[in-house]
Amino acid sequence: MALRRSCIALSVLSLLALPACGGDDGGSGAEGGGGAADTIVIGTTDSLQNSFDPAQAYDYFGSEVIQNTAETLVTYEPNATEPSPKLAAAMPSVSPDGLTYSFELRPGVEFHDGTPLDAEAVKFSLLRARDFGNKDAEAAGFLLSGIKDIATPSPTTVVITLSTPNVTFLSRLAYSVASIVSPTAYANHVLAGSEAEGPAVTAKYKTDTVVGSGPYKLVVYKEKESVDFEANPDYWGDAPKTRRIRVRLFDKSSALKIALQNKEVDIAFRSLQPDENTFFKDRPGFNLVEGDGPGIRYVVFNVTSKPWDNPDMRRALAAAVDREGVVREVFKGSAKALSSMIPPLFPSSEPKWSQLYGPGTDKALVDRYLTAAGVPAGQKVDVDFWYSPTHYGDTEADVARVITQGLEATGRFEVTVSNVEWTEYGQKRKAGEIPVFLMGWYPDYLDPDDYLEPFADPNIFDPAKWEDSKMLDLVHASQRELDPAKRADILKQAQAHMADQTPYVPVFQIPQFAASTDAVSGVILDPIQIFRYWLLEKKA
Amino acid sequence: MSATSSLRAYLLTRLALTLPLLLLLLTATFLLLRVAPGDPVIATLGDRASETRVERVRKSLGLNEPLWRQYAGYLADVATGDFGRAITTDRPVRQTIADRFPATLELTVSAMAVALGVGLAVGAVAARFRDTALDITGRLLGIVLYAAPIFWLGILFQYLFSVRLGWLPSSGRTSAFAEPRDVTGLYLFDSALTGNWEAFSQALRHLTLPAVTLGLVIGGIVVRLVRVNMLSTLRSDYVEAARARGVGERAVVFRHALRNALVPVVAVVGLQFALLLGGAVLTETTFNWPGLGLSLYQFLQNRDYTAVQGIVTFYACFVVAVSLAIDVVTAWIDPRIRYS
Repeated sequence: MALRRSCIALSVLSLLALPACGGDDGGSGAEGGGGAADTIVIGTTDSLQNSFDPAQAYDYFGSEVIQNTAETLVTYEPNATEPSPKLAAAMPSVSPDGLTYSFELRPGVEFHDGTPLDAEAVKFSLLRARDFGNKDAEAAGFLLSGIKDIATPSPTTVVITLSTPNVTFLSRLAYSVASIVSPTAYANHVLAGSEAEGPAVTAKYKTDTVVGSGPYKLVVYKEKESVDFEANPDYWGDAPKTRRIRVRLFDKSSALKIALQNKEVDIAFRSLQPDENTFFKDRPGFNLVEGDGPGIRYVVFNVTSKPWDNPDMRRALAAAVDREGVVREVFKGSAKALSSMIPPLFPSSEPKWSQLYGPGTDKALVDRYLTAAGVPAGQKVDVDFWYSPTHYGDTEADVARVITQGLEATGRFEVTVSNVEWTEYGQKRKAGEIPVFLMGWYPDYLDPDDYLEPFADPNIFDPAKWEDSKMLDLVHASQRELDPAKRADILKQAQAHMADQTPYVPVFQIPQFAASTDAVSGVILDPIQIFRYWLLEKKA
Repeated sequence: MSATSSLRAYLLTRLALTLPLLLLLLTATFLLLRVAPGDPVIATLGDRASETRVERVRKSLGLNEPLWRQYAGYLADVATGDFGRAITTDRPVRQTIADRFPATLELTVSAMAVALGVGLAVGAVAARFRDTALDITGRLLGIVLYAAPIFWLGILFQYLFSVRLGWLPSSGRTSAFAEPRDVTGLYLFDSALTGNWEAFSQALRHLTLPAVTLGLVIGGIVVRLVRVNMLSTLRSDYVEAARARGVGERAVVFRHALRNALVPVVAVVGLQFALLLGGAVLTETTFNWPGLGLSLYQFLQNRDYTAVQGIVTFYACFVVAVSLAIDVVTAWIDPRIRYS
């Protein structure tokens, strides 16, 4: 009896020990992460918001999956800020009035289902996304609402006509919403046109997979658990460097950090906390890759609330925001102080806020603007300052603390700091119940326009409730202007006007980090936010 | 009254009591989610959702209906096994339960095995060697384990066994692309069933830390229970009689005393299943174990009101069913219960 029990115990122990002895990866961790060299495991705290349908997906992770499984006419090469051809054989010819874009397609491209990618497929995909956007305000399709018509004079020629000129159109075409999908696979996922808004529309999305022409095929998606990809054997371009990719979805960054430390995952991307990223910096066996991020953080005034309806009051507070202090104290220098709503990765970015209000807390300027606003010398102004504690990560309370310290250091502001979870935060913001608060922004497409229009147009976002016709005129003029030099000038005017009125105070630009084991190479983080699986490689 | 008819009568009584208990639980679930602050629809759709869409979703969820009508609809849905549709994923909650509950079941059953193993061994030894160093150590261990927060114990184990020693994985159910062929969703069972021993080994290695963490915390309760019942049993007349007959001490403790001490333990441990499911939420979160508990936590974070309601309802039904099963088993084992 005792012998039998011992045998069972030994068997269990040997089963436990088997992989550790066998070594499936050569890593020092318990599991050895992605295992063989042809498999890479990416850990992330991101999650899918609604679907993998390019016409619907309007979240980071959904777009990431689509960008690795489907392709667009144009895209951004690593670290580029201007689009280049992808499914298009060359950049399009644009008519002088800026209304017509003519594309020649790359020949011989096939979808994952084996059907050919031709001009009809392009027309089908773009019009499909646009039509969904017209019926579903939360879908990404609205980005293509400017498309008036698409002609296909030959199987390899596509002519897109816009309803009004828009220089951001190519940037929009590079976003996942403009991915070209198989008309065969999506035949039952189109709108007839007679649908009312709501379930009749959302039920038509193809949410569970992507049938594109990209370097990877989506194989299995387990809700809130993992997504598996396999290299597309018939891919027209350079073959992906790794055969299989698994993306593991983590709920907490602490668990993701331990999993990377233990080499159960090969890469941790979006998002470890700053101190967790620092942990892997210069640590033997690991790499920390840093890249410019397009995300920005800023302070918002509800310009309809007292006393922040007075521009001089806003200017006074803008002069007291210590953006350098936030970067130094909260992010240990890993973020970048931001002096314009358009981050400096665009040549048209102008550091207007630093020029007008200084890089940090400027007491003399604060006094000057408060005097202009009619606040007697020595009198303090109450600031009801809000933030949401978890939506932007664990650092948010510290960001609010450092800004508060900067405001109070002037001796002219008495700050009451409050926080509330994201849901209620959004409700309070919409209801105009929070007068001064922290927000963040990730652009939909890589163009300065996406850092201006949403903040001026209440139909898009405009959390400050700033309805300024001059600003909107400048934004629309910049969208129509085809001459790059003239457009840059308009963008500068727009930034100058926004900084002068300062319904927002830019604080910092969000950097991107990816930590990985040192066996992994090919991690590229650039502002376009395409995490390119096909460049990832792992040493055997 | 014969043994069979008394058991039948007991069963019917328990069943009759189960229905109001279930109704109470469902009512509490229904009401709690409706008095929680914040708008669940805006919470799930995001604050950039248009008013039209918010209103549309609210209407589709029946949130504009009077409370009594919502309640009646909810009960009718539950009665037909419909746990609603998650707002955030737009999938039936029933599908999420089917996908994720096997992982939770595997974890909780394994944890229960760990709890019983540790609890019985330590509790029995502590009782047998009452007031010795072994007893004090066992009691202390029971208290410490019971008081230890699950996430703290989990992180401690992760650090020790995964990071420092590199023996066991810290998260997930198995290695990448090492899943067994899906039969029941229970990886250990499925891999054994299909003879995939590499998958079995990987699943076992991944299960060890979460199961031990959760099992030890519940084990703390079992230690104390077993010890108290053993002490009482060891003082009873039939144990003294066994000793007087010259039965060896080991046989007295393990064959006579422990078996009888187990009856109340089984009943109480059965009731701990609810605690185990609650603990599983924390364990799954700590170990990124893709079970229903982690789903529940994530839906709670996203304020997905329909999904949370569906999962909590399922848990309530499950706990009531387990509780009923335990009552039947204990009544079957111990006739005193069904006659009392």
